[in-house]
Amino acid sequence: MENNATGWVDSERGLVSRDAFISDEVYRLEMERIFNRSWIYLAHETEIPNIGDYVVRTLGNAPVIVVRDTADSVKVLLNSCRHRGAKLCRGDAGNTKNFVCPFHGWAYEIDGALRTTGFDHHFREDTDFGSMGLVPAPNVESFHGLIFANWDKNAITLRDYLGDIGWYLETFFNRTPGGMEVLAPPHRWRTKANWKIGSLNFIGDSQHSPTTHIGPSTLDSARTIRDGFRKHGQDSFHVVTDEGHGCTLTYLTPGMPEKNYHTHPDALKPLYEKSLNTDQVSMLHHLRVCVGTIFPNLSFIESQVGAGEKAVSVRLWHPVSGTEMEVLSWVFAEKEADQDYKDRVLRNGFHNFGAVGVFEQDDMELWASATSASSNPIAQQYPYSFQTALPYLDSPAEDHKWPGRAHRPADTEVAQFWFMQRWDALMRTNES
Amino acid sequence: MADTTSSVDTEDYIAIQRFPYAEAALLDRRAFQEWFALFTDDIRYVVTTQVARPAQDPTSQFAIIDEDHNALKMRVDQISDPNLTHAENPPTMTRRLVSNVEAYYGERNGVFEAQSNILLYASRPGEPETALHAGERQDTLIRDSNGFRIDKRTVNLAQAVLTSGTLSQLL
Repeated sequence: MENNATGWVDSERGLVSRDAFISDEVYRLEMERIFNRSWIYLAHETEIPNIGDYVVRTLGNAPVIVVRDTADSVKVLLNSCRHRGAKLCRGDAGNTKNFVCPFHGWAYEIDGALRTTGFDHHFREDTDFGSMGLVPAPNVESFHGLIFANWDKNAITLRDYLGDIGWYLETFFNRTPGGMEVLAPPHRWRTKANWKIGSLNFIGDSQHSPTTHIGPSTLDSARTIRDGFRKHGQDSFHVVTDEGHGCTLTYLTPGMPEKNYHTHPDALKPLYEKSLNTDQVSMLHHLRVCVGTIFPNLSFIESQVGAGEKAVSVRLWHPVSGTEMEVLSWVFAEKEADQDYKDRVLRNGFHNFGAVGVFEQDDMELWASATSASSNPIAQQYPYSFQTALPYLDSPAEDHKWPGRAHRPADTEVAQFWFMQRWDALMRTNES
Repeated sequence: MADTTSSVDTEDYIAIQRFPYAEAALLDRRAFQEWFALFTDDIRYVVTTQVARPAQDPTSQFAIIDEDHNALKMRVDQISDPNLTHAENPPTMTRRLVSNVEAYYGERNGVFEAQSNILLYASRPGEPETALHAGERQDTLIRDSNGFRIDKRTVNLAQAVLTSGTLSQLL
């Protein structure tokens, strides 16, 4: 591949080749060098609370079943029969006692072990049926209910992979003893845009907010957002951590009035204090919006918009090709919250973000237009600009007490370029 | 589900059948505010998609929009103003086909439960592919001196994945 040696990212000039955002060859390499070697988010444990519950997702570009087995542990199994490859599960979710292939009848336990081919007596006597179970992902781990898997059997642990970003994730997903729960199945939609645009948008693209989201940021019912955009920069910052993760925190200046804490139900606040440390609680007190990306394609946002409930939502930017992704979008609330609050969080979450969200509809329109207009040899000669990262890359904030490296102000492209540099480094590694 | 033993008489049926036609015409000529005026202040506007589950399981629909009057108003305001929307500027070219209308008497005089099928054809400028969204619509209609108002609307889309992107059109 022509960019293999030099990479796609020009760190001196703050530029990234458009090829990275449209090419199917790049997509193929991403599967090999990133998606089949990184920890990829699949599901939340509350989507499969009971033994035998499963959801069907994709790990890299391989269809997988995420199932809670009889030992109450989560297994990730390739959704393809060891005999002739048919899918064991052709829907998206269900509950089962076993997996039976509809093609010729090979039957598996829910942990993936082969129970019978139905024709065991026709196999040679030395056949090792024990090795003929459904192909398991060798590494499956949860972080406060967030289930990740990794095809690479030599992978570092999930905790090590998340590193410092874990501190921030904890604040959103482990802030009560019961943890968070998914409030509805994920919204799913296809968008003809490269998946990285989603990851970049969430890791720290404050510059897009006032223009892309001119609608919600102008209309009265979202006045908080408009005011937030105007003040962006001085009291907000990006955080970047190893492995290419990062997030953007708005309204977090020390000493600011704790005006954002009132949107959390009073009943939950003592629980936060029980589960989080003082710094994490302090962050919740001040925070208006936190939006971030776990490399490569998991994003999360906690935002206070509209009526005021802080919807925590999670987005997965699943690559379908160089120019198309499928998006999955979940909304979460604290398990201990009352049903009325959960309902409001869910409705508010859908209204803003999701398959018909007033924010997301404009994002998708413009991301697709960027991908479409870049998919030609003339446009490909002109790289994308991330130049507003450059003056800030080497000057992290020195007063940041929390994990990760912070950069002010928050309306630069530092976090996005951080992501692209990590992406570029992985894409240039050749060892398999 | 409406009580299917109480189908409305022919005169009411014709009036109820005309209502979604007029409504579709408003949406297709982008008279979104006029369309919004057809809803009561207590409106609940719900659109669902499905989780694809085994046929033995009950159908699993879940909301992708569940809005009251305020939330729906903001959505309508956003796409009504060319300066406030990208998803609908340039406008999506649409045709809504409404059919299979059934109507039943509701819980009190002047209230009707109506069902219909809607097929939304949508073409985005610059996009080579057009979108089709098919759904079953369940409406609670209230008749007053000006005609019908929609008090509750549920649109169950026959989709698990919105294959043509996010949905900025109204149903």
